[in-house]
Amino acid sequence: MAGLVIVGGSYAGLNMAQAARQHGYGEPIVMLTDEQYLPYHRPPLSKGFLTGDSDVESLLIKGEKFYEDQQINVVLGARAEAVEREGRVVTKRGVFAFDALGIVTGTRAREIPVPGTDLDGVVSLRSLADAEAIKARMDKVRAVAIVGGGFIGLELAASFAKSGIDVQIFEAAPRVMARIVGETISDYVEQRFASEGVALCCGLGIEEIEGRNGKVAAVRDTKDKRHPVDMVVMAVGATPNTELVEPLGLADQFGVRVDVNGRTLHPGIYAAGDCAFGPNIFAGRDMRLESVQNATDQAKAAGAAIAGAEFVNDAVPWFWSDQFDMKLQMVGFVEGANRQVVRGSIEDGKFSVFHLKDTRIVCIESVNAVSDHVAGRKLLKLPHSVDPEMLRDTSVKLRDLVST
Amino acid sequence: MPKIVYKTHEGKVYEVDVPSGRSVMLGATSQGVPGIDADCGGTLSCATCHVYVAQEWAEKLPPVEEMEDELLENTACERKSNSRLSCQIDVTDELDGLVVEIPERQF
Ligand SMILES: Cc1cc2nc3c(=O)[nH]c(=O)nc-3n(C[C@H](O)[C@H](O)[C@H](O)COP(=O)(O)OP(=O)(O)OC[C@H]3O[C@@H](n4cnc5c(N)ncnc54)[C@H](O)[C@@H]3O)c2cc1C
Ligand code: FES
Repeated sequence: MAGLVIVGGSYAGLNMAQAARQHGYGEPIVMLTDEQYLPYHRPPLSKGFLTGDSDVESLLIKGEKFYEDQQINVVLGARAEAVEREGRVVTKRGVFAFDALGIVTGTRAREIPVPGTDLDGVVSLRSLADAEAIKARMDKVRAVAIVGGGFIGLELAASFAKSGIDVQIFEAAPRVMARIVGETISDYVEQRFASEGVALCCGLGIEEIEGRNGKVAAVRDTKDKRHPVDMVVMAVGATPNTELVEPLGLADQFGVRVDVNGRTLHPGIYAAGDCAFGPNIFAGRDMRLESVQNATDQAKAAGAAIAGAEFVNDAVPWFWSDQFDMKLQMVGFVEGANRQVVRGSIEDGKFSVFHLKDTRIVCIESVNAVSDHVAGRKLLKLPHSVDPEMLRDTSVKLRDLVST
Repeated sequence: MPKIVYKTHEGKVYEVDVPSGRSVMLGATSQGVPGIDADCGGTLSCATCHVYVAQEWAEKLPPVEEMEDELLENTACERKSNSRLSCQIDVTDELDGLVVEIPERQF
């Protein structure tokens, strides 16, 4: 038997392999990754990693021993170049035959057509290698422009500001993190960044990156103002890595199309994580998500299916981001809400924004209100109802307020 | 190097040498000890690194801080007086021999 070949070595790849084994898959498992490391935690890269002294080993999701025990053969530095319909993956490190194939290739930093992105000093952050390259530059850098006010751009801005670097953020949309949070949180975060001395311009993009001797010298914004900087971080979102299975007709611009068990249209080929577009039971529609939770849970379902078992992924979507002293945590989706209630104190920086559809909570966005968030992760899964006004009473625990 | 003893829900025992400064969570994930998921990589966001600390050790650990306390309120398995998040326990020489039990589930 040729077994399972997994292309991509991160959260989705690891969980797919682990779930397959857990459900009794006994054939060989090979995990191909184009990186030089075993699967590692990406979130710290834009958070503590740049300012702290964490080493690579402490970033690994699992140590080597785990792969030995589970008989998962990880091949580092093996970029899959092509998938052949007959059941083979081609890499520079050999050709790998498969019975089942997992496409868990994630995303790459999105590129935008701005002149100057090829200059030395223009960077983006997706991988540990990217983070190491940024860290190596930080000593010499005095002023940074961050293009994109999503969570990665903001986290990086906070890390740079903490290191005494001048930071300016350009966000073309009217508010930060518009794709993932509601207005109340965007407003709050924008104010916190301002109070930390970070220049944050919403509704302002960049027109050009100017260079001198091949190096970044300045950015010119869409209002034609010039800002001298010595580094530019492009943080304008991510593009799914779907190229491998596009020739097989398994992907489009939204991602690799999957069903609820991670099956693509081609028998034996599965996908999960950041690259996959498919049904989200919680939301009741198809979508592509970029989060550790989603990659983990989708891959568990796909791994089970590969082993011939069933694992229903009805997980409640959740996400977090750490910026300065703000721990932002989101659970559920704002869409469909018709009412908003703030629980806690915005002034004290410890509150949650509850989004409700009538008397049902559909989303909780928390700032340093961990207990609301974790309670929500359980609650949103169940049918429930709550008196919206009662949510304001922080003396009563959330779980005691809601009838399920 | 301090030794940490992990007991799984199924009753398997793993003795792992964990360098000082590493967390009890990392001691488990780096050496293939099953049952500690640690989805957030120790950034105090997930509560999937829950352990029960053997009673005789519970007082020797630094106290539970506010965020950890709040995360512990909603662990998958019941919170007990000796519940901790293993990513928040840094190994020191004084913790040589620490025994932790891993709950049945983390999510
Ligand atoms: C800086 C940063 C911070 C983040 N912070 C958070 C956070 O706080 N919370 C959160 O929930 N999420 C966060 N995320 C998102 C989270 O990391 C992703 O959702 C998650 O990593 C997705 O996992 P994945 O396995 O689907 O894909 P990825 O992690 O993208 O992994 C895909 C892997 O496949 C490899 N690959 C791609 N193509 C090939 C090929 N052809 N051959 C071989 N290998 C290939 C890639 O190099 C990569 O190693 C963050 C992401 C980044 C970059
Ligand atoms: S690893 Fe996530 S809280 Fe401990």
